[in-house]
Amino acid sequence: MSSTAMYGSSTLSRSNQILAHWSIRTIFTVLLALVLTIAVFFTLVPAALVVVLSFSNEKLMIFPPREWGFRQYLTLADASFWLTAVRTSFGLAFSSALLALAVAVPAAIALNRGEVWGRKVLAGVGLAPLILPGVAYAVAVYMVFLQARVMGSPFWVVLVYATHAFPYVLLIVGTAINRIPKELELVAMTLGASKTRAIINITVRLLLQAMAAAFVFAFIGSFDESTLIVFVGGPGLVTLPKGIFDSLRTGMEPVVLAISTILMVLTGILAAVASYWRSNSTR
Amino acid sequence: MALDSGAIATQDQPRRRAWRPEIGALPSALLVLPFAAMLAFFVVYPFIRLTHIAVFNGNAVENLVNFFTDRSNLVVLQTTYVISAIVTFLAILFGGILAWTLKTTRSATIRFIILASVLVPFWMGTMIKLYAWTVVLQTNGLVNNFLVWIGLIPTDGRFALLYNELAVVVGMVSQMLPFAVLPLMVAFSSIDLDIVRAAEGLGAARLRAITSIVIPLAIPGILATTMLVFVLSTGFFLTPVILGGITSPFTASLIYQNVFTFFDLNAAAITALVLVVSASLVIFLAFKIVGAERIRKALG
Repeated sequence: MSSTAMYGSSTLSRSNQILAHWSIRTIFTVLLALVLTIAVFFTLVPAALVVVLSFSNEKLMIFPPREWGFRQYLTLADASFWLTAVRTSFGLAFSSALLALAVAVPAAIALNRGEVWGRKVLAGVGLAPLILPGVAYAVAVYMVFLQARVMGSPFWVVLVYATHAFPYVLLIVGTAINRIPKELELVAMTLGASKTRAIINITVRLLLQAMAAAFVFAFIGSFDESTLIVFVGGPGLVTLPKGIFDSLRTGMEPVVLAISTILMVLTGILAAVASYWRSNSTR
Repeated sequence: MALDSGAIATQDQPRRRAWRPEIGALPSALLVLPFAAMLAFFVVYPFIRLTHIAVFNGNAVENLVNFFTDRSNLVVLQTTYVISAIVTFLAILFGGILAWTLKTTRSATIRFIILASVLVPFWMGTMIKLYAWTVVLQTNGLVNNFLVWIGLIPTDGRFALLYNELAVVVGMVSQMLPFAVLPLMVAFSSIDLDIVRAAEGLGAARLRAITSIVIPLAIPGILATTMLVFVLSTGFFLTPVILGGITSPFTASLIYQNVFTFFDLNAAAITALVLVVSASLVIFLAFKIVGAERIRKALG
């Protein structure tokens, strides 16, 4: 085949090519719009629905509501069962996030800066609660709670929740440590600081934002945790997710929608702040 | 770095330890100790206990044979893996398109909508989201009411959308989408858009440029994300139980029933163990194919 023939044939079909190109583009754009709509529907509709329904004025959960208003928000103060559940969730989430930070931050520093025997195994097992199938982990923990006769004990649930939050700390603080030059500690030591002082005053101080971000993510994760608690909460320990799970069979009270809406706004603000801290600490 | 300072120090004087940025073996062991102890108690031991109850409770062979010859158990396992695979495929497909659009779009509105659809689900409780899905799908719910309202179906022709496998897939995809989009965004972020433009400049259509340039470059990230989404999907508990119903053929419902209705801990433990083994296999495979660093990135 000569080069002129090839050139000729390609100029001949050029208009066809452009046509084909454009039609593919149009199909592509339409497909894209469709996928975007589906994805947005999948992720945003449940959230939007909860917010909208929280302004229902019905006493019971009726869909669609016949009357709209602020009834749910006004009766919030009387919903003592749900407020207790929120308080329980808050207590568990706060203690476990704090414990996760206290235990996993030193470990993250040692794992990234120290000579630790079995470093890879420890880092891998530390991430396991995030990767392993949730229901399998929950059953495994249930068996241990059964054996130790501590079903529904807040103390033990905090310990499990803290372990469950280790991955957040390892990922966020671990990444941040690697961005801090080791030389900064060396400089401090040449200027007369002891090694401990160099670590605490330089590295730990530079890690503060990452630690705050890890705390918030660990807190949100524990606050929302809803698989483990169904297994190990027993009848006594009712967190907000557990309360909703139990009430799904007997019928939901619409006041929960108001609580959820308020919590969603608070979580959104917290998460935005934490993401800012995180991006600051890993830059 | 450690090597340099160490080498110089040993040549001159025995000050080696005090001048290294690394923490010595003993202090690091002390720093790691509480962490290691908690992992041992609350991650390693529970799985040892689980294995013990699953296998060494009574006659091991008999337990396993009983479990695996029960057809309903096999159907449950099969359904779980098939549904998880479907969910993973859909989440990666939708998530990939969202992440790629986010990277390439010039429209601020589209960018805002995508970011919102990825972030807002993280702010909202899992349980309340599932509750919202029951309101969307129930017989007198959002979808059915809408269809009646536009006149597509008669009032008595409402669909039973809840308590079936479709509801579970919908609920799981909606929860896995953000988990797919975020790591894919990271995976795509390293791809230079100029290469795509070059391909298009050389005559490739958009689709061709994506299939032959973008996807090969993004494959390791996509594989790591696929692994993560699949493993998380097999472990879903609340979605199958709430949207599929307590008797739905999913491992989650099987485990729930065995623990709380039949008190058959042995069967529950075997089911959980099967999930753990399959998850470990998938994670191991992903490690071999894409490496640990990619998986770390996919996690966050």
